[in-house]
Amino acid sequence: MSFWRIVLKSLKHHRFSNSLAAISIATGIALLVAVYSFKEQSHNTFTQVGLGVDAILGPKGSPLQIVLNALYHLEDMPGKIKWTYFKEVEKERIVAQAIPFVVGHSYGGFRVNAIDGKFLTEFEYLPGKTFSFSEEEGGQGRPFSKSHEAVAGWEAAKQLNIKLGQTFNPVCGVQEGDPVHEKDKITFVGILTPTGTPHDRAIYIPLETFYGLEGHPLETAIMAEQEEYREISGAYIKIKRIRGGALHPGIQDLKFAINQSDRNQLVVPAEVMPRLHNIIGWIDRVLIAIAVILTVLSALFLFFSLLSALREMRRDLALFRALGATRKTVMGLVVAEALIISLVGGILGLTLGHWLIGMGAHFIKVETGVGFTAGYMSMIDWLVIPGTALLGLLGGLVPGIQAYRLGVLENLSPIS
Amino acid sequence: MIIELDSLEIVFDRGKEPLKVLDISHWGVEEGEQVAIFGPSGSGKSTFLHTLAGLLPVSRGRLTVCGHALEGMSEAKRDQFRAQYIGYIFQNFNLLQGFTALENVLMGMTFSLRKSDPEEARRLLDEVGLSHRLRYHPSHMSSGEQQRVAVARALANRPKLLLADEPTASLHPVNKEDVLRLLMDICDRHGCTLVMVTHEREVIGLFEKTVTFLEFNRAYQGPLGGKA
Repeated sequence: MSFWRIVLKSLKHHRFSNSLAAISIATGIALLVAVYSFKEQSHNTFTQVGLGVDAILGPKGSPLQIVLNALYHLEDMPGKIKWTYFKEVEKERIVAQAIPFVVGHSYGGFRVNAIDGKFLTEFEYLPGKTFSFSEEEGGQGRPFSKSHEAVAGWEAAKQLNIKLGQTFNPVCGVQEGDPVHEKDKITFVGILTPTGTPHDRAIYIPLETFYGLEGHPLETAIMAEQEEYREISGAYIKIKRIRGGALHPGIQDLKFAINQSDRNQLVVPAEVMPRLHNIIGWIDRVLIAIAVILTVLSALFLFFSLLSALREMRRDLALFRALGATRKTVMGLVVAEALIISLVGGILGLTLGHWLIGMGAHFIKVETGVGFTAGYMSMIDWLVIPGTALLGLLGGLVPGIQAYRLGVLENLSPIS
Repeated sequence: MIIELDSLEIVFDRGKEPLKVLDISHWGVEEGEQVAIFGPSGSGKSTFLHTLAGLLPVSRGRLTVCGHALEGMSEAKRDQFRAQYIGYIFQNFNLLQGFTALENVLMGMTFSLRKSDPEEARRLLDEVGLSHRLRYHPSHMSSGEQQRVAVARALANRPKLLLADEPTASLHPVNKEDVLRLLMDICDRHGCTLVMVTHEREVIGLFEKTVTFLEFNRAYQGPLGGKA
């Protein structure tokens, strides 16, 4: 009978306490895996996108709210800005590109943003990367070229099973129960290739389509014709670079000048996002502390359940010794048991953790629109197996040493 | 000689006053012999058997078993020696409760240098009349059956010397002689030397060679003084 067969038999013999130990480890690990995954994914989501946009021209209000709305398709824009003001900013010498947009519509739970066509053809959402419709990379169709055409981000198209030529009626608002523009049928003409950014989770229509939607007040229709009345939600601003790739230092003067106005502000995502990270980071730290405490408690549980099992195993181990097993062998049996319980707990925890991410991602998506992936492998995933192995070795060490020191005769037959 | 000893002393370290439990001047057993050692409880019989098995170190004197000098031998070496040369039967069977009869016998092979052979384990269980109980756990077997499993397990490593510590003490009187005869027959068949200790006068009549333990354990001081 092999060493590992004996270990498995012994594990089976104490299956109740061993299962409890494995489950307690799995719970701690699952929480750790889930928290770390959410932490890393949210960090990736909320740091990567700002790279494509140097600044956002928006109305007065919370800068964080503007960033969340303009870049992450969350929250609402706190107001509107005048088209004429946007045109003035666009002419500023340090502005390389300005893309106006209007938010406030949705379809199937995804935001529908009216935007300048240059966004799909010229805008770099990450340095050196423009949107693509390449079929080889998962895209389809083309950019919109006239009113009542739409382009879907990759994730939105996937979730809503959007096909080219399909039409939809946009919802006037972003909440459930908001009215639908029943008479406006908009046709999907393109699906973007995946970008790994929140742009994947939006639908884009031409700016002029917004002003022509049926059911909007008369003033909105007038905006289409007369620029002096026209309003937009905001604009993505790209600032010219100086030698070495850094932002033109004039951005601070421009920001100051715009922020002096009564209705407008220039928001620099790179300045705003650290505040969000601070809020998220604090929650992360609490959750990670809870997960670490749980994991440590489960290691202690493993330790005590092994000690308890060892009391029951004393006779068996003494018998192994009587049959010729060395002290090292019986110590190895106990440590190997701890290792297996711990590894089983680790693997279970890994699986449970990703299941939790999947479940959590669904609710977060519904509530906030932020997308998380259950299959995402965070740094902690790679540490789970070696970590739980180490945990098992440490948890099994003291019971193992006790097994090593176990006296054969006092745990076997009576002396005659 | 398969067992040969000279001036053997076993002393237990009990703080300031060491306790001498065995003091035997000279003794030996020829290969293939079947010997019963008889003595009252507490006379040191089991201690003697444990010493022969290498479970206890030799304190003083010389002890050679199966050609191996046990005095001065390290504990790890004694473990190896026991796994290779000794079969041991306990009074209270000491079967592994979580293991079946077959697995208990296989366990007897595990720590020796031999490869575990399920076929041989089955054959041994067949030899002790338990071929119908291979998958039974000890808790589902009678005491007589459990002791038969213990006999099969003791033979699993093909020992040269079988040591039996009161193997019939926990058995029903009806089973005692059956198990003992089985033990003696099976040792004959396997060419194995048998040394059995007992305090039961009625079973020693079956042995050709019997030693009264009190005759040669000079350390024995009476029922309490000799208790280890």
